Amino acid sequence: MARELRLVALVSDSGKSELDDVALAQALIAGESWAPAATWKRYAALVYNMASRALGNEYEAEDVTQEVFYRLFARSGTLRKPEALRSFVVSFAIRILKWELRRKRAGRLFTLLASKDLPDAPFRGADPEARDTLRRFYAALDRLGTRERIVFALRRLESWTFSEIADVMELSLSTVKRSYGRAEQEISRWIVGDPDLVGLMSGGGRHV
Amino acid sequence: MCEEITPVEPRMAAVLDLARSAVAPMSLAQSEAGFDVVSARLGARKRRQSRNHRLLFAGASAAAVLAIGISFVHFRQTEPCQAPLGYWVEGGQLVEGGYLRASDPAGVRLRFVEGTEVRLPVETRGRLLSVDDKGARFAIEQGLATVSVVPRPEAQWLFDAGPFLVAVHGTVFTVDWDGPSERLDVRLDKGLVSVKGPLSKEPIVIRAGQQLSVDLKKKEVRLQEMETAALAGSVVLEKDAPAAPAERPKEAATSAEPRARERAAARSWAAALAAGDVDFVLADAERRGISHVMAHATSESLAALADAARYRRKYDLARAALLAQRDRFAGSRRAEEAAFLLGRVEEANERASGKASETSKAETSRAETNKAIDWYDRYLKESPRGAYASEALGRKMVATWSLQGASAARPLSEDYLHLFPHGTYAGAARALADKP
Repeated sequence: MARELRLVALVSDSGKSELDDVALAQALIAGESWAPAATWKRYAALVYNMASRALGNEYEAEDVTQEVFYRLFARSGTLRKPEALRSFVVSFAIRILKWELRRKRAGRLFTLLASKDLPDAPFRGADPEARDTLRRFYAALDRLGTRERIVFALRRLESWTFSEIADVMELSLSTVKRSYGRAEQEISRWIVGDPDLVGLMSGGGRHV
Repeated sequence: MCEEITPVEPRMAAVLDLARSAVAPMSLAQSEAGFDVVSARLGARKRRQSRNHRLLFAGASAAAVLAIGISFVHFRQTEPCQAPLGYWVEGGQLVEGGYLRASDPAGVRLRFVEGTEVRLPVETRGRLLSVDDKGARFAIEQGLATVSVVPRPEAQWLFDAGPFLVAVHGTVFTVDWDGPSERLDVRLDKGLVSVKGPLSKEPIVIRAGQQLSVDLKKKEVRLQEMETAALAGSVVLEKDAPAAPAERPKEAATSAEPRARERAAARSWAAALAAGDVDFVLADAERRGISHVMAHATSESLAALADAARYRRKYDLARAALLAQRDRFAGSRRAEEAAFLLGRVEEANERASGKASETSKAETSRAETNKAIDWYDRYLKESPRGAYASEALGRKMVATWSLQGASAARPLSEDYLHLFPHGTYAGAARALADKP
């Protein structure tokens, strides 16, 4: 069934993809065999984009996306509010992202990775200067705490509002704002203080 | 929920734009593979649960799982051979009759799951005729298409351009058909294509670095090296030719030994650059003699040298190579792009000139930023739809902002958002537009 859905999707949306979130969530809860494929089709790109921007690594983002949906489908029976399917998906995504960032942070501590080492972010495109800038950007994000990093990524890379972030992370608005303030201060310090960064305002930008 | 996102410092906005634009959207291939993994894990989970609950029927369950597994493997082995290639459209939509309609000013892209891509600018009219498991057939009814075909065994990609049929294997090329003047141009960056059509009984084979131009009205077929084509006197290899002209260009190419040597150097510099061996390019240029290189190197060599010099922040050398490109290959695509790159070099040089005294530094900085703006203007004038148009306008906006302030740059930010609402500098443009 999943294959059929995918083949149809190559040309045009199938009737199933016209379903609203409530109907889709109800189908998931009821264990309809087509529901996981339809949910994946609707939300996988959202989760992947969020994960790849937050992590700066598309391979890790693929793993996170798969983990999110594996857990979500395995626990779809726990979805109590069918009208909140999107929030349900995003909550899973945030939880797995937190877990992944903590795992990476612990890994860095255990392997004693020097803070000056840059992560190997396999961004597409052949421009070495842009890749270098991005590696430095994500190295700066690596220095943030998990919560600060996610709040910063959602706010600045996904353009979410503080209220939306507070809702999905189950934090108070003031905690979110404080976390964001700390993150922005740290990233600004990096931008100003990194002598090797080819600053965009002063002429770097998207390098060619 | 309608809380506004406050603007950030322009340099951070640009870094954030870069981070956003670096993430390619999830491809259909990634999506399909990802869902397969999730499905397999869920299947395994279900099987584990089933095993725990039904120990008494373990034998029967194992047999059933095995049977499902075998049929699944069989399905996986046979199905992909028959299923047509998946594809999707970016920057537009596929409408009735298979026509691609662009909604993005940058044009529309037709992308296939195995990596092949067809790009059409807004003014090009083209349509998808058919898709199967080996490839697709696409008709260019008017205008230019840029095609990148991923090589695969038994792949079959066909492009109709007026009365011509271009058969492709693995390659990157552009095909331009102008119906009213009955003129076809095919430029091949790499790989091999063959073109069937009037004026030649046998298919015309085009190799990497060659350009085929056919003028049906004049009954003229030209096959020439692309760099030669950029110069004035191109060689007419075939005119009203009935026989296979595929091997003729070799003769033309061997007539100029030094040019062939320069082309070989160009290939090796481009390859070295692609492999990240920037220092090899610079050292080899030094070894050959910089002035000799500037006077005799091919267009491709000059482009590679300019890139290598920019990456190593040797801005004087980069500037010299780019100016030589514009001077010696005026009118070519690389010469036009050199204008944009010269702007980048001036900006980069302005950053690097921090050794001068404070007063002279400010003056130098203003002069270099002004030069950069001039080059961006020139590029935008020469190539308003060029590959770097978005970058050039974005850089011009940022440079104007830093030099003349927000009010001078604001009209540019409005232009930018109008032309490139999702461009790299859209964040900076919005921040500028919102600035009081």
